[in-house]
Amino acid sequence: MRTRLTITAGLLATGLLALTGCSNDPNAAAGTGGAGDDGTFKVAAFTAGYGTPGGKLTLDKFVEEGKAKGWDVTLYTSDFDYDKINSDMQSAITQGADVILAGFPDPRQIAPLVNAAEGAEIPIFSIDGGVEPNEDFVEDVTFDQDQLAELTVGALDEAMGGLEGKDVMVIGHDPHIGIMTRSNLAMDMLEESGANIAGGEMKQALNPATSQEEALKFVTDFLQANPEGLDGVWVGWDHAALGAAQAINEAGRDDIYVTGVDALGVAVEEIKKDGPFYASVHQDWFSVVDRVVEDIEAYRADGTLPQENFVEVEGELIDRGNADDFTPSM
Amino acid sequence: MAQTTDIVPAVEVPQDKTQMSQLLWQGGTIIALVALIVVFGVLSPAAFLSFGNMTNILAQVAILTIIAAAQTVVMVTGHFDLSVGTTATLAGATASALMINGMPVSMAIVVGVLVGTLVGIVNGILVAYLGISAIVATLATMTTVGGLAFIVTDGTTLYGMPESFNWIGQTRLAGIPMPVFFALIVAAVIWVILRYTTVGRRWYAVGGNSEVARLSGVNVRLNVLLAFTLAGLASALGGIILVSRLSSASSTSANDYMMLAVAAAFLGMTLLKSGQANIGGTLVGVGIIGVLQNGLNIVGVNTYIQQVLTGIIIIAAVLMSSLKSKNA
Repeated sequence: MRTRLTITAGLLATGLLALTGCSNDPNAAAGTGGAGDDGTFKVAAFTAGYGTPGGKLTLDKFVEEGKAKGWDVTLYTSDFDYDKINSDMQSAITQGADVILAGFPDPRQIAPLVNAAEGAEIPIFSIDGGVEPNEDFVEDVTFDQDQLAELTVGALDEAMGGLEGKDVMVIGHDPHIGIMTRSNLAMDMLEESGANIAGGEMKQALNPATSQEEALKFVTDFLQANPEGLDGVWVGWDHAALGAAQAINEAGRDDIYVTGVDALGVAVEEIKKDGPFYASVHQDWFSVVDRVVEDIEAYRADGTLPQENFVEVEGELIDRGNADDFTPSM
Repeated sequence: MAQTTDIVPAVEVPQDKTQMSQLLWQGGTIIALVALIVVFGVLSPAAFLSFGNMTNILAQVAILTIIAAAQTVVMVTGHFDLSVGTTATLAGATASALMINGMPVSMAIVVGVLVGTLVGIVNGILVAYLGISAIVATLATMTTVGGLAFIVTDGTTLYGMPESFNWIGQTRLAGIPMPVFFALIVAAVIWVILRYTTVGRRWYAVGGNSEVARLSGVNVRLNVLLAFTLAGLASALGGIILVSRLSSASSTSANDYMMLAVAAAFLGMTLLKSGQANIGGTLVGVGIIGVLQNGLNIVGVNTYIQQVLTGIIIIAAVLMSSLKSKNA
C-alpha cells in the first residue's frame, strides 16, 4: 500500500513538474520587452471593427508589418462584439502574449482585457483608442477630431459661401466614439458660426454599414418636407455622406453641399464630379501603423515604452482642388 | 330536438360576433396602414401627401418588397429564412465584384442570381432533407453567407461598376423609379405562383399541415426545397437591385432587411382567415413599415425612436399573428 502511494505521489509530482515546464508564464517578459521563453515575440492584435474598410485595411497592414519584423502576430476580430474580443484577448494573455495592439477599440468596453493585461504586465498599444489620454494604453495614436471637424466645417463654409443663417443637416453615429466626438464638435462650430441645424438636432444613423441607404432616406425625406430648408449636409463618415449626396442628386439640386470623413475611393470619385459631394478628409492610417509598429519594435528590443501615451495626428482635406492627385487607400 | 333548437340561436349570436371581430381582425392591418397615412397626412399634409413623396415611399420600400416576398414564400411552407438579408448582400457583392473585374453586366447579374439561388438550395437541403430546424439552418447559413460577403468585398466598399448597371436602380420610367417596377414584377410573379400554380397550392398545403400534405401525395421535402430555392433567387434579385441603386456594394448592405421582411410577412399574415403568409398581406406590411419610416422622418422624429416603434410593430404583428392562428 505504502509503495503504491509513493509511486502515485511520485507520478503526480513528476506530472506537475512537467506541466509547469510546458506552461507559458504570462509574466515571463512582462514589462521588460523582449520575447518570451521560446524566443518568439508574440503580439495579440484585436479589432471589433474588422467589418469596416478602415478597420480591416489598417489591421491587415499591421499584421503584415509585424510579420515582416519577425513577430508572431495573431489578429482577433469581431463585428463590434466586445464580449468576444474580451474573451479572446484574455485567452491570448494567458497563452503568453508579449504585447497587445488595440485596433479602433471602444475604451468603454474593454475593461476585462485591460485588467487581464495589467495583471500580466503586458503593455497595450492602441490605434484610434479614443479622443483623450487614457492610462490603459502605453500609447494611443489617433487623429485630431477637432482638426477633422474644423477642416470639414471649413469646407462647407467655403462651398455654401458662409455659414451664417444657413441650414445644415448633421449626420452622426454616437456609438462610435470618434464619429460622436467630431460630430458634436462640428455641430458646435456650425452653431457658433450662425448656422441652423436642420431638423433641430443631429440625425443618428443606426448602422454605419448600412448608413448610405439611411442617409439617402434622411435627406430625401427632409427635402420632401423642407425643399428650401437645406444648404449643406455635414456627415461624420463617407459612407453616409455618399447617401446624402445621392439624395441631393436625385432631387435635382445643385445648391446643397456635402462633406464626409475617410476619403474612401468611391467618395473621392464623387468629389471629382464637382457635384454635391464637396470634400472629405483623408486619415492616413498606414502612417499611424508605421509609427505604432516602430514603437512596439523599440519595446521588443529593450523594453522602451513611448514617451507620450496619447498622440494626435492630423488629417488632410481632399476637395475639388486636390482630388485628382490623391490616391485613396480605402 | 328542443335542445337543438335552443342551441342554434345560442351559437349563431357568437358566430355573428365572431364574424364581426374576424373582419376587424383581418382588416386591422389595412386599418393600421390607412390610420398611419391619415396621421402623417394631417401632421404634414403638403409634404407627406404629395405625389413626390408617394414616389419616394415606393422607392424606399422597393427592395424590402422583394426580400419580404422571398420571406413570404418560405413562410407559406411553415418555415423561416433568416438568411434572406445576407443572401441579398452576397449576391449584390458578387455581381459587383465580377463587373468591376470586367465581366459583362448581364453575365455578372446572372452569376449573382445563381449565387443566391445556390444559398436557397443549401437552405432547402438542410431543412427538408437533413431535418435541421429552419431557424437553426438559416441562422447558420446567414452567418456563413455573411462571412462570404466579407470575403467577396474584402471588407471594403466595392464601387466602379459600369454606368449601364445603374439603369436597374437609378433610372425612372414615367417618374417612377425602376426598382418599384422590379418589386411589382417580383411580387406579381410570386403571387401568381402561390395563387394559381400547383406548386403554390402544394406550398400552402405543406404549410397548413405537412403530414396531411404528405399523406395526400405531396412531396413535402421537394416542395420545401423549391420554396427555399425561390426565396434565395428573389433575395439575390433584391440585393443586386440595391447595389445598383447605391452604386456601391458593402459587406453588409442588405443584412438589415431580414428583420423588416419578417415583420412585413407577419403583418400580412393577419389578413387571411387562415393566418397564413400571403403576398397581398406582405405588401400591406411593407406599406406600413415604409409609411412609418418615411412619415417619422418627415415629421422629424429621432431615428432611435423610429427603431423602437418598428420593434413594437414587429411584436404587435407576431402577437396578432399568433392570436389569429389560435382562433383559426
